[in-house]
Amino acid sequence: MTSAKSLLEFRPGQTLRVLKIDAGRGLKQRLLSLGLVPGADLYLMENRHGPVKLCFNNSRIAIGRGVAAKVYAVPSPVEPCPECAEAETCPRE
Amino acid sequence: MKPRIAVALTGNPNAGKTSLFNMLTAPVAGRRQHVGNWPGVTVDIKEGEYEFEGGDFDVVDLPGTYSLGAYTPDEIVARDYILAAEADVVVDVVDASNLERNLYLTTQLLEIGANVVIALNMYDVAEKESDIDVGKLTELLGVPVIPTVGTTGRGMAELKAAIAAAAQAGRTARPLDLRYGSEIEPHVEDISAAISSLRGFAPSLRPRWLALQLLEGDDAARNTVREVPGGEAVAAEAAAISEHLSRVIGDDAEVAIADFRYGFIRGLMREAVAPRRPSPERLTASDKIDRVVTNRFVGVPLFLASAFVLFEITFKLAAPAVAAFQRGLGWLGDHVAGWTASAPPVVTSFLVDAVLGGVGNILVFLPNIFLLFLIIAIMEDSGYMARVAYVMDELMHKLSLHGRSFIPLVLGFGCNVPAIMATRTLDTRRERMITIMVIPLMSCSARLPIYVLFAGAFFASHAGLVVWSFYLWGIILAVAAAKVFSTWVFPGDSAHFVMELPPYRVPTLRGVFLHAWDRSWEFVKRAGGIIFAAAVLLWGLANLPPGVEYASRDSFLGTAGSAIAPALAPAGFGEWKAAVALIAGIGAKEAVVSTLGVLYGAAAGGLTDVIRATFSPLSAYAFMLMTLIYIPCAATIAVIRRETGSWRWTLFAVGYTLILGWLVATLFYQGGRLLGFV
Repeated sequence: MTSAKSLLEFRPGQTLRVLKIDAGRGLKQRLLSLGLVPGADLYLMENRHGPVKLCFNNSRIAIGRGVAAKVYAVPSPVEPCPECAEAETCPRE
Repeated sequence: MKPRIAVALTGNPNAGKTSLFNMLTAPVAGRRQHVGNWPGVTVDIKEGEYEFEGGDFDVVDLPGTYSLGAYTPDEIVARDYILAAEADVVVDVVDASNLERNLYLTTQLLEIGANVVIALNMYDVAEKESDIDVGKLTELLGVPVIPTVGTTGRGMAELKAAIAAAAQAGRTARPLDLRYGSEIEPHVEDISAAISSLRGFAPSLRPRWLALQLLEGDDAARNTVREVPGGEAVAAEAAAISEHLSRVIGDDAEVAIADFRYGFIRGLMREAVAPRRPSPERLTASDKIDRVVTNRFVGVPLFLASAFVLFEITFKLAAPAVAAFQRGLGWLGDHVAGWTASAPPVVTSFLVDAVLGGVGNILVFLPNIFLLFLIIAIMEDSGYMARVAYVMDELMHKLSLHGRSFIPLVLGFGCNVPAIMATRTLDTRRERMITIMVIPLMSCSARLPIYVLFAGAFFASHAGLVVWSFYLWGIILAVAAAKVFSTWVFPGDSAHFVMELPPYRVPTLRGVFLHAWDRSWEFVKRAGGIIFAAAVLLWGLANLPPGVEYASRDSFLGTAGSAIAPALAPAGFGEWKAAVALIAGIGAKEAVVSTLGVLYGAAAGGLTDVIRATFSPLSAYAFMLMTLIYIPCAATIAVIRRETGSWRWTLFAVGYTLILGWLVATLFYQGGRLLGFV
């Protein structure tokens, strides 16, 4: 858990594994129901300005920077498969 | 006669629920579709009906939701409807190309014991990407799974048959009892047993579901349990257990519970879905478009350009229709005048000026509104609207608003009425109220004739710049008002921005037309009566007491104008005729110009000269400021009342715009005089 950082602190183009969501109930429920659960791998598509854009579960989700600050993750051991990295598609099992 | 069967459509946003609804209910003659009223919030709930093998089915299209743990007003409506077990059959519309996430809601529906039929929608897309063993899925979930394609109608007959069979079988389907592991499961069972011993719950609520919701910390479930005798203690115990669990597990119970649900779903996927053959085309096409559309430097200008085109198209295309309506009404007016030639003039005047005038006020709105809604529907259905919110969120956040507030605000330049109706997509009541309150400051198209008249009369060499300045005034005041409202009137944190960016799709013609038609018709129902009533009322005030000349000083309207005029003097236009025009403008803003025309007894051309003689450039500009800001038109007031569900906030909107309008106009006029302008 020590190396976990908020999503804001990662560069785009990385595959991350969610460790913890440190948010209020309503927001947490919303993220959970979208599939953003601890243990899930996601691909960080955009993280420079404005909402952070994620790719997981075969969909693109934009979350505000305030929301992204509450999601903690570590680099994921799952590399995006080559065509995914190329096409910016999500990590798969 | 067989009883009618109630069917509810539910599913994730973007799962194609509405197109499925349109397909299901379309072929019936006399198709009925209306919008329901729900306590507290106005949420679109479409209802329709169809016949199948001699049975009658009523269908409601619930707002899209990702789970039963409701978050937005829309989702709360959907959740409450499902939990109240008002539907005989719940059709869960699942995006087959995105099963893992969509099945989360499915799992919850099965856990509450709803009588579920699954529509495996967008099956055509999913088929290309993976092999879904529908039989296996049916077996594992224990409910019928029907592949469908909402846009083409594929699978509709099978779906209707499955719904009929499920309705016949009734709510006997075994609820899904997921096991939540050795840490959580015993507690679920204990709390569930404790709840079972309580009395006073709706029979459709399963104790096990309530127990899970309590552990997840769901407010609605906690309130439900606390309301029954003895429930307080059970709720408190559950809260303590939830606390204990989070220490044991190292994360919240709700996270662990969600994790078990996803575990179940992954198990299903392994058994019933062959590994996906990634089909990069569809997704990468979307990503490629997004690279341009959501680019930091290109995104905003691109949107502004498309908004400009939107307005051009709307008003260019609508203009001939508006003109045709006006010609038709003029023709009708002449004939009515002919038919009633022998009747007293007041009868003719009532029919022509009040009745036809009132209808005209509604009709001139319609083409604009229909086209605006049509274009919005295209933007929504294609997926572009989500990108606009994404691109604008950063800027809107600085203005204490939400990315999604941007669209309603822009629409306000066309017409405030659809703009306020468009705030329904906003997540929280706070965001929605702030947006509704500032929309009247967006200078709508009905105010344009006023600027054109006055700017032409006084600032002919810079008329365009002067007209443009009022749009700028509106924006600056709206930004300031949003800041004030978000700080003092609606304090709180701004809503979290969490939004799916669905793959781009080509919208269906049928889908966007139905969408635009439904909303336009709703506008007529909601605002039509009030616009009409306002026209009749103003006509009455202008023609009473009997015998007075239309809108003359001795009429009630003139008397009212004379009474308020002194209060307008500090702003530079303390003349009763100006006051009367402002009162008439509350009925519909464009009436300001026509009323001035009547009062000064001049046609549009001659009006310029009369106005030049009456106003100074300074007072003319102050008067234009007043018409921009003061009191929204009757239709807007009516829609604010509908959408906020509150007379108090409606009066607030009327009151603050009046005070702000007077203040800005007065400060401008007095300031100008101090600087030596006249």
